[in-house]
Amino acid sequence: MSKLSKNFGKEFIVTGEVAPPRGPDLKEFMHEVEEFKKLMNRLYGVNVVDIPGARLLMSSLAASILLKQNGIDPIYQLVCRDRNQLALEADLIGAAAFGIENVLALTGDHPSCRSSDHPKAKGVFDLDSATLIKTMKLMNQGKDLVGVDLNKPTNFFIGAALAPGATPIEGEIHKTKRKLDAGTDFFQTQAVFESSMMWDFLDKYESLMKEDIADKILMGLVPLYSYGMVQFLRTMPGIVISEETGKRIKEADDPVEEGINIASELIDMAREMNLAGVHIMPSGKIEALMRLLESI
Amino acid sequence: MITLKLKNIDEIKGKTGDKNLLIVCSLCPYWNFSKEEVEELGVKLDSEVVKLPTICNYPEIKVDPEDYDRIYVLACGAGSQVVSEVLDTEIIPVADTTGIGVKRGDKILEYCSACGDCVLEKTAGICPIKRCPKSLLNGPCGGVRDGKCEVDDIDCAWILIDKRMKKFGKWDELIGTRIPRLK
Repeated sequence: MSKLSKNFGKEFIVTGEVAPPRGPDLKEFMHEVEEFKKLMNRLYGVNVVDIPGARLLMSSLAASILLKQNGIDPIYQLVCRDRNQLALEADLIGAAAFGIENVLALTGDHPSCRSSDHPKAKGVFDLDSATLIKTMKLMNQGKDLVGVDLNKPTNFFIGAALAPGATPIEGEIHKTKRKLDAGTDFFQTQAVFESSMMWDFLDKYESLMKEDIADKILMGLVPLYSYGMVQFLRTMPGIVISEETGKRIKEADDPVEEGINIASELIDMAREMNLAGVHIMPSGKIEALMRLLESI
Repeated sequence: MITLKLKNIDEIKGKTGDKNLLIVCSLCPYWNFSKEEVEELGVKLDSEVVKLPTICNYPEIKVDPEDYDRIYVLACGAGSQVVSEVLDTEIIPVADTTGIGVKRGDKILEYCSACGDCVLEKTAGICPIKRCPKSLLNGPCGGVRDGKCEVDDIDCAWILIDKRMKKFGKWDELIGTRIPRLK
């Protein structure tokens, strides 16, 4: 059982995130791994991103195995963009064989999305996040997607993404319910900068689905470091940063410090909302993650 | 009709010889482009223009390929293959075949990709395979903003499907997970 699955719903969960390197030199990556190791008494898992924004990085499975071998429980992110059914299942069997249990099932950004560096790559999308969740659920029962036996059941703790900033929100609510019914154990949101957005989602979900799912959600947090970062993030789908939050960073003497303050306030709000915890994406600045962990 | 998108003519022009021919199918190209646009293409490619009736019906092609250095074809991918086959010669397509579309006013919208596995009964009569860039069977994705797709400047197919399924009272099917054909 992974540390995340063991403690989910019992403790206030905090997870981190790491990006695999863009090349075979592991020196910097392993340095980051060493830094994360020191934080594992506070973290319940570390996400390993899978070619986000369609910008090439080393495979998330390889990086997740490295983390696992270094005593860090990974949350292996797996996108449907680059693999057909066979490749997804084969990678999942590989992950399970190396003791990886936490998997975040994602559809994946389109190869021609704005940030992509391979805009003509073929998007596979043979499965999507909901059908990938179903596949993992079947594998946990010892079957593959077409119903054939595996030599042993897997033990995946299944995560899915949640985009509280999507509009209209009803589509996201229906999809969240679908993912939940498909077998999602936990949700991880896209970066949230305004607690009102999270409150709105929870309220609307509850009123439409007659169900409170706050205790299944880890709220995604990105500490802001500069006003340039605010402007860049505002161009990303689903990201909402209010005028007021932007102003706080723009006018701060120390924008990094202010970014940590904002994230810290959001962590307090996450507790108030009875969320399962937070997922901190430090964008390579592990010091910010350390500071936030101190404030929890 | 079959939707066509002209290739980069400047790139194709580089392949122009001394004597060139542009063969144009009489059907889909004239639905996609105006008569003037087709004529202009002939001028740009320094080509004689020959219009053939519906090429997918294998018409007789009274052209001797030996008379030309280059033979361009403005037709769908099937029509271009027929020309190559009938004339037993190499051809240069001047358009990409992008799908099957509808015309609303001046706008051509692609509605079908001829995927061979129609799912319209599961998706309230709107095709997500063609109209969602990710071809999602279970959308929308998280990138939808104000009902618009994050990839193209089009309405999110899944927001449209969502609304129609609700209207048709297909609540369980909307929330359920659609599995692709596995066998």
